[in-house]
Amino acid sequence: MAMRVTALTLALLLVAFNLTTWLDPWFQNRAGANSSSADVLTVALGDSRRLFAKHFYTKADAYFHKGYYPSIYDAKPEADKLHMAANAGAGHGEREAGMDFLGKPKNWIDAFGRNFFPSSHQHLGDEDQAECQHKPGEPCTHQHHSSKQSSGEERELLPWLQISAMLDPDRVETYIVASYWLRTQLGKVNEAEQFLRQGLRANPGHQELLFELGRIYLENRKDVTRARNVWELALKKWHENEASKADANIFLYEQILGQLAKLEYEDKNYSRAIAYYKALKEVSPFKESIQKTIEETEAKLKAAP
Amino acid sequence: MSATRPGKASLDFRREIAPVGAGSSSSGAAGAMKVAVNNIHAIGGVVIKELCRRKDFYVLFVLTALITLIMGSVNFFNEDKIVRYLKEICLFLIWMSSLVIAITTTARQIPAEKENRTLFPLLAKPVTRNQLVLGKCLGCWLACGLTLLVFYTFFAVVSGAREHHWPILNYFQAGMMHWFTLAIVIAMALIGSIVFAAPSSNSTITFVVVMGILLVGRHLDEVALQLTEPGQSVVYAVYFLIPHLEWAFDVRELIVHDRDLVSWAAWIGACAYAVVYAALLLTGACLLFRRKALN
Repeated sequence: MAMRVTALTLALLLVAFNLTTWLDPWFQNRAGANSSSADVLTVALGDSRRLFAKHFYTKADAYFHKGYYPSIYDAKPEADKLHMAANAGAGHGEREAGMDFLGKPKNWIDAFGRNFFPSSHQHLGDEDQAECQHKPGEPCTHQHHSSKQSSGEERELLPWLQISAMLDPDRVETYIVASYWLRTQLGKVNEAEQFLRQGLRANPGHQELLFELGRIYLENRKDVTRARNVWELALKKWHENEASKADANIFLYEQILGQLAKLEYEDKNYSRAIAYYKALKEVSPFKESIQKTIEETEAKLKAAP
Repeated sequence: MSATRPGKASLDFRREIAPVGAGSSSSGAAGAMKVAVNNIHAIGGVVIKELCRRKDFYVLFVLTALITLIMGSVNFFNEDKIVRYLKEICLFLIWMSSLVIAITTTARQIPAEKENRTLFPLLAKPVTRNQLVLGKCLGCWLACGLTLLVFYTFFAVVSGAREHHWPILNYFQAGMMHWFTLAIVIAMALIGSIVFAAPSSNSTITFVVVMGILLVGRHLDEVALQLTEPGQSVVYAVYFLIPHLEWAFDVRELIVHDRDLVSWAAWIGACAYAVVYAALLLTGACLLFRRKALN
């Protein structure tokens, strides 16, 4: 009897072991398996890692201002409109508003204490260390803000952006901002592309990452064909992911269309350029100037052999 | 004459057995002052020797160095000139280590003398209670100065090796403000060691108070504005009463972000502010210790 039980147990163990060797690979490779969830940070921090990621992303912005940054007690810029990110994408001047968060000293302790922390508005890469003296809301006209020359100080943002991306790989802005500074101010095009590709691995087919990758191909690698392909994919993904949303990223759509139209125009594919311009006209606030460009392009199309 | 002789004899006797300051040929107030200074200095020397013997400083320094060097070896986008994150981490660790050393070293001074039963022999010698308190404070402060010297030298070497420039004056300003601020912390811990029963409770409470000041001290006026009376007045009063330790703590930011030097007038003002606060707290400690029953 005891022999039978032992034999049965051994047989069951063997079956269980065999099943494990079959089922585990199947489980790992099944459709929709999330194999990226097993890293130590995700297990240890859970969803709180997103909070830390946001903190480090904001810290990068504080570094961009050389420490002149509002605390939790001061009025803060919106998280999605950080100055560092604004420089990477949208205009700069309008973001300056709200950076005079200190105001006038409230008492002698406040006034005296301002000697001991960064209390003047400066940016990384301001070689002349000039301070922004303009009033809130006034566009910034300093040459050091508009010029492309850099001392490479912007590299100081990178550790915090990399840590932020490590903690929250789904945060797309982190890759875009880091890539922008890497390729424009630090001349590290390969690293920028690698980081964007890392972002694309975490967020497959994301339209903003594809758009930024296209800019690298066109502006840095001068590879028009790959830029066009990537932007066309970005446009397709925008239609798939964003178009149906109530708060769709129209600015990105305009940028993709604008870049594609410009690219086709320069490549003398006027009919395709016109198509992109027409699509752009529908969403752009500058309809008249786009209509004028369409007419010019149509004239060129007619004149073309 | 007979009434004066015993007093003189007593004084001479005390001088003869004095472990320090003995053999002084001077007399009167200047002599007494010299003896007092020598006593304070001798007690301070013992504290410094104690810090050298204990492992606290070595452990904290090795930890700071290890964490800094590990963080410095991380590769970010093949960019080897990135240094500010490293400076921030290193300075933060230096601050935390120095606070731990200052508070724990100070907090155990008087309780340890009681526990080892060396307090009574010490006070039986010509060492007054005030001299004991001042000696302990001076010793802890000088010991912290020595540790800061080592820490800031390490910091200067690490950051200089990475960024290839040496803003020594900035480091000097930050280090000295740090040291003067620690004088306030030491005086607070010394009062705590007289008031609270155990060094552990004193250390914890002092650490919480110091961290509270460092984190929210600068913003208490803004917090007060959002409160209703009487909370507003209370918080405002606290804002004006607390020693603003965060001034020295915030200088880290200037160092990290390569900002300009603090104006020398403001720097001297901040150091003087720290000296005044430390003196006030020490006076309080002396008064409390004078009235404290030791048995």
